[in-house]
Amino acid sequence: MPPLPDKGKTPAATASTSNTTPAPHNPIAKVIWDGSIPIQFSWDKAEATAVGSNAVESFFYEAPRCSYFSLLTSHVRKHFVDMALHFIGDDAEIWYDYEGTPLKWHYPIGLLYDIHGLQASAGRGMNGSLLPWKITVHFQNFPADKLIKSQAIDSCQDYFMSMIKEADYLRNGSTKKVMNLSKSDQTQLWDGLWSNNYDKFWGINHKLTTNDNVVARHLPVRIYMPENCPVIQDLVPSVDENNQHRTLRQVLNQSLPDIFPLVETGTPVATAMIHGIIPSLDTSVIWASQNMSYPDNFLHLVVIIK
Amino acid sequence: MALESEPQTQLVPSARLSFDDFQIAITSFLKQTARRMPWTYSRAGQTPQGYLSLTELKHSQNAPLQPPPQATLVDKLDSVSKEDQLLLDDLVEHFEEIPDNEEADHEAEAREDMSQKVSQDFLSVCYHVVFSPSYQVPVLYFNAYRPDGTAISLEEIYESLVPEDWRSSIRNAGLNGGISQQDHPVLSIPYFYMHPCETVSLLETIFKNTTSTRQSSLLDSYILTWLSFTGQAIGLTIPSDIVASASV
Repeated sequence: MPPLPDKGKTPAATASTSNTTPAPHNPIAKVIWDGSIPIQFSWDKAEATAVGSNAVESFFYEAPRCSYFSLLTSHVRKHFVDMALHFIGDDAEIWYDYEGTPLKWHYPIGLLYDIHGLQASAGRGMNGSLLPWKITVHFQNFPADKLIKSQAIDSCQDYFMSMIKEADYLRNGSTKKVMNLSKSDQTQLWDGLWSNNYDKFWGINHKLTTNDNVVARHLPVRIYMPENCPVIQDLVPSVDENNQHRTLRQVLNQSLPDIFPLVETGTPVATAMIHGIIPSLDTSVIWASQNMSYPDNFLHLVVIIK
Repeated sequence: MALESEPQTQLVPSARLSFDDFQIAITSFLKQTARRMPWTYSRAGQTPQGYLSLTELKHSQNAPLQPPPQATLVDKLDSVSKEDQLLLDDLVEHFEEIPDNEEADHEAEAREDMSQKVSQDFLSVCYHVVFSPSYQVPVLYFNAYRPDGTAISLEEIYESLVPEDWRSSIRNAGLNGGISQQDHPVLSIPYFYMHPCETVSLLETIFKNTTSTRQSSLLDSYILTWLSFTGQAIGLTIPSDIVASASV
């Protein structure tokens, strides 16, 4: 079993805030944090034509997998506003789609790509590269029946913090830990996320994920099946009746026993993906939770049916 | 439903439910409300997770409507979704079954009133009770639709559904107010909901003060107890005779 992250100190990358708690050394978490997806944002043709801008170039951006579309919106809008003549655009009305499906702004970008890119193409038996990921940008006709309203930065932060609270509640049966973070710690957590600063973010986050070395009761896990199934979120105990760490296989078997049997007799029917990679199902779910979670502290596992 | 021990070694019923407990609790609730409130149990596709649902018609100025005459109501609802139409038909049928000795006098008056008002300022409010596996409590989800089928905004929810004296305390609750929007766990579309963080401590306080601590009776009245508190915040009231007859 892989060792738990070392708690040695790393000098903060930015010296701007003397109060920034440095992040512990954790190469796995760092690699995940640095993961990115090249995206090609193109303006919806009908909308662009309507404002007389049918020849506007696409906007290419290397988007952090751990970030959210809401946090990129100002860059995206600026590009198209600069390009078009009579157009301003309103951040609250911007939305994105991939092949006609509106993208949930409250899901991390990496999760969206795993679902709409990788999981969907596996389902269609496609093999070629999907990159750069071709996203359509809309500035009008926000689909309020499909997307949560007001995807401005405040809402993104609110939603993100409610996920963090839920994760805390699962681990400890209360949200005391998160609620007791100092105001500056809470600010540092959010600042670290939107400014894509690993040290700032993990300097605080590691206190939540390592849970002061108290074994979590339950772990924050969400499982995504193909074809727009409701998200599976069952209660995931961290250890079994013998106090052994449970594995990813056991967790998946608990929710999807037909697809993930405890003992693999033939060729596996499905695999589970996170951050675009397929971890071994024998991985300890506690280790995975501490090292491979998204910034919202959840393990978002995307099921790829072979 | 687990019993958790406190330091004083006195067993206090926990307010946290397992999924199976929740199923038992909602079955009791459906029985308790059968004749007076048209709650139904729905599922979507093949997921085991279902939810209780109720649709109510409300004046958009926060006063409940009198039961409307069937013809007027149904005629005006051109753009209501099929699902909502079925619920509304059920609702209207249900209202017709209620003995109307008290209402006979007011009916004619109400009918006239309705034909002007119904099309302009009523809301169709859908209330759903969904289980939260993380918080292990029920959560109240809701959406409200104008006659043209469009959903109302958070601000309009506060104005139309939340009682005036509750508004500021709910707005200021927690990080972002007591009401937020998220994907409905079963339907996967945007729905408003009441944050469940306080539910456990609220219910534990209530259970501590009940005379009976039998697991089964607390489970029986769980949804009723929880909903009679939580529902008030967004304009959902349980008729008091139901609460009285089911109390422990």
